[in-house]
Amino acid sequence: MYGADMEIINKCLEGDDSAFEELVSRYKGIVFNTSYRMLGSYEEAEDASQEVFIKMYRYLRRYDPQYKFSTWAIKITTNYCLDLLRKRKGETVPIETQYDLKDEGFTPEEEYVRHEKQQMVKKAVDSLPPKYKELIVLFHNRGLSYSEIMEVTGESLTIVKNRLYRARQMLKDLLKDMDKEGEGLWNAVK
Amino acid sequence: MECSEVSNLIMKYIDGDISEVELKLLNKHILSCESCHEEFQMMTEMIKCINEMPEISPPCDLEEKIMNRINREREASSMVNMLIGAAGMFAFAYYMIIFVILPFMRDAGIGQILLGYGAFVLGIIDRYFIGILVYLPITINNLLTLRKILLQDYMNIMIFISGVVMVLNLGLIRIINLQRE
Repeated sequence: MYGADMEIINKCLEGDDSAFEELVSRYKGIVFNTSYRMLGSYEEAEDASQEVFIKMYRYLRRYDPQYKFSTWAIKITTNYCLDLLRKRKGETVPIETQYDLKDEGFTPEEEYVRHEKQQMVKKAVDSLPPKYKELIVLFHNRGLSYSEIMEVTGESLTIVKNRLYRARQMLKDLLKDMDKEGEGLWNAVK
Repeated sequence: MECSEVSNLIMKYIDGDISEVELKLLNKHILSCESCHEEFQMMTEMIKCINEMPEISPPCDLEEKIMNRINREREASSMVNMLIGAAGMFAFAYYMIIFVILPFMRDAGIGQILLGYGAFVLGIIDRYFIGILVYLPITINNLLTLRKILLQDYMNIMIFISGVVMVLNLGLIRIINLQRE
């Protein structure tokens, strides 16, 4: 029904609501998953996605077409999630089980180890400070390039790289600590 | 090569940004250094885990909820717009009465003026009846479209300013009256 993003955006700006609905359908996956990885819970991600799309509707005029629309959407999403995370500092966040997809070709034992590891990684990512978590989500979950991350965060390449490296080191240290307390899954890799 | 340099190479490896020479250096080092080997293993395994985290499908009624909220908000804001618009019209009418019609009437006498206006308007309708019949709906439609565009951006601010000026004016008139007395 609609073609390129720009066509839809122009229609939205002319006041066509069904065009905005189309925009939501196109980008809800990106917005929802980014929120989910940032906030760590399904319900919060749902609420955040709603807020983010309302913001997008209000500020659509400010969108600069020289950037990809997905980058702009992710920028609004991460900014909103960072705000939420800052506000809930100190509050305990419920640890939620990963909505996992069953992958074919694993023995039950391998599947178990894989699942446990993913749970641990998710827990570790959730406990990272927001600024570091943001970079892990953008680079590894969303697969953004360094230049796209620079657009989203508004930081220089050096800062982005350093922060991402630091985030990975922190994650690794967190996993090591968890591993000592737990079943030693990560040592089994060797 | 120092172990401290290795972690930088590991990062480059993860970024997919490592040169062949660096890759060889890294390989050579982790074969001989147990702790760097362990770090490399853990880091790559961890990143693989993150990369493989499944995409979650968003709730299917997300669009519906968002569009409902947008509609509700728009209704609320159009009410506010209407109220502000009415206030603006009031301000405009006030100016017209105070500065145009009243001074005019004071000079000529009310009855005569009203009759004059009536005759004038009837004359126009009489002369351009067909024209008015055809063009009036078009003009009204155009005006409504214009109003829709204007209301979104500038009108609110303009109306707000005119409202403020009106209040100031009332104050000024009051002060002048007080001084006169």
